[in-house]
Amino acid sequence: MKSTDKTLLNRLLAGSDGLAPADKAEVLDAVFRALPAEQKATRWFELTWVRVAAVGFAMAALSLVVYRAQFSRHDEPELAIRDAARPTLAIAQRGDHLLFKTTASAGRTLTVVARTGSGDTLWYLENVTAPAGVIDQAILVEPSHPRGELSVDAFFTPAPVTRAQVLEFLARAAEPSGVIRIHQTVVIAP
Amino acid sequence: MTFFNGRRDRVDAFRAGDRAVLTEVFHAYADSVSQLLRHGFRLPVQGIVVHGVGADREKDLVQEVFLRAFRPNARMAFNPLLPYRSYVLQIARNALIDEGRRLGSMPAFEASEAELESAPSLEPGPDEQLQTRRMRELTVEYCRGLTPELREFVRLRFEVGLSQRDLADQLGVSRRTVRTWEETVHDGLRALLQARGIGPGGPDSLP
Repeated sequence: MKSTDKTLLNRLLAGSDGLAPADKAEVLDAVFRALPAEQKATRWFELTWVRVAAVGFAMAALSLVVYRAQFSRHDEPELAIRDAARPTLAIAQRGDHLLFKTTASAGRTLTVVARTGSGDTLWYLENVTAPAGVIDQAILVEPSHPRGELSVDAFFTPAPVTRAQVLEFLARAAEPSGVIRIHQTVVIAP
Repeated sequence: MTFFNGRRDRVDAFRAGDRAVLTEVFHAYADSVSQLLRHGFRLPVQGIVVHGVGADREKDLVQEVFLRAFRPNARMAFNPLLPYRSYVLQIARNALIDEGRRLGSMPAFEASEAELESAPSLEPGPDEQLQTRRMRELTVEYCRGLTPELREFVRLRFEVGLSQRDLADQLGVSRRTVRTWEETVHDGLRALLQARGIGPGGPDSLP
């Protein structure tokens, strides 16, 4: 039997406008059988770059050790931020998402915490390493969340932070050296 | 409401290549992709019609579209702020254009991404819709005349979508028996449709 006939008959027997379930199962199985080879190739590619990056990182770390040994007297505080400009943070609502656009220098970590009026924490976006220039991050506003004011705190830190550290930052009146905090209030439209 | 709307967990799992989520995505959008591939579409500005493919190529192209959509770079390129349906249908339109070019049936043209994205799917013509309706009516009539055993087979195999192996296990019969039932049902339906002059493979069959 031609596959044309078989597909058509399967569709009629299933009363389906699209592919019949039996055909869908066959197609999906074929897709999954074809996928692993690509993923394997990609993983190999990624592993290669991980190795290259690891060697690069080791060389940079060695250079830093040598530099510090030679010029330790001129060291700045460990967590000092070398940016002259304070990063900016813009927040926009797109449907059920909040879109964050921020400028931060390379290697900076951005953590965003949004809280409702009653103090419930809605999201953490932890340890997003900013590339040089602008980073865009979107987080979801679940449809079940109450609309109204949200208190949004963004922390720019020189290294990844833990959830406990974020809570500590929030509790402090002043941020520790090396941490920039931006606080905004956002009204979530229905 | 699209599959990913408001579901960050689904987006993360999709990007990580989680098979369960990929399966859900496939089942959520396979019918839309299949219909676009079957009927084709029209470029609104240039008026060029990109024809759909026959049932023999349809399954192959559905497979190709989801293979492209599930590749790691395509999963990462998907913007969860936008509907996934538009994204996967755009891949399907490109696959149809590639198919047309491969067969040499496409005029040379250049379309912007915006024009391609807004290209509506072509509806089947009135004749085709009438034929489809007649074939469905005949199929229902045909299934009513089957033995209870074969009616249960049709339900499990074609409506529920069990594989031949799962069906054999569930009904406690051999896989050869299931294959024989499937051939019996196919042959009987095809004979009925051909006897009424609209069967598959006949002069009036659906494209």
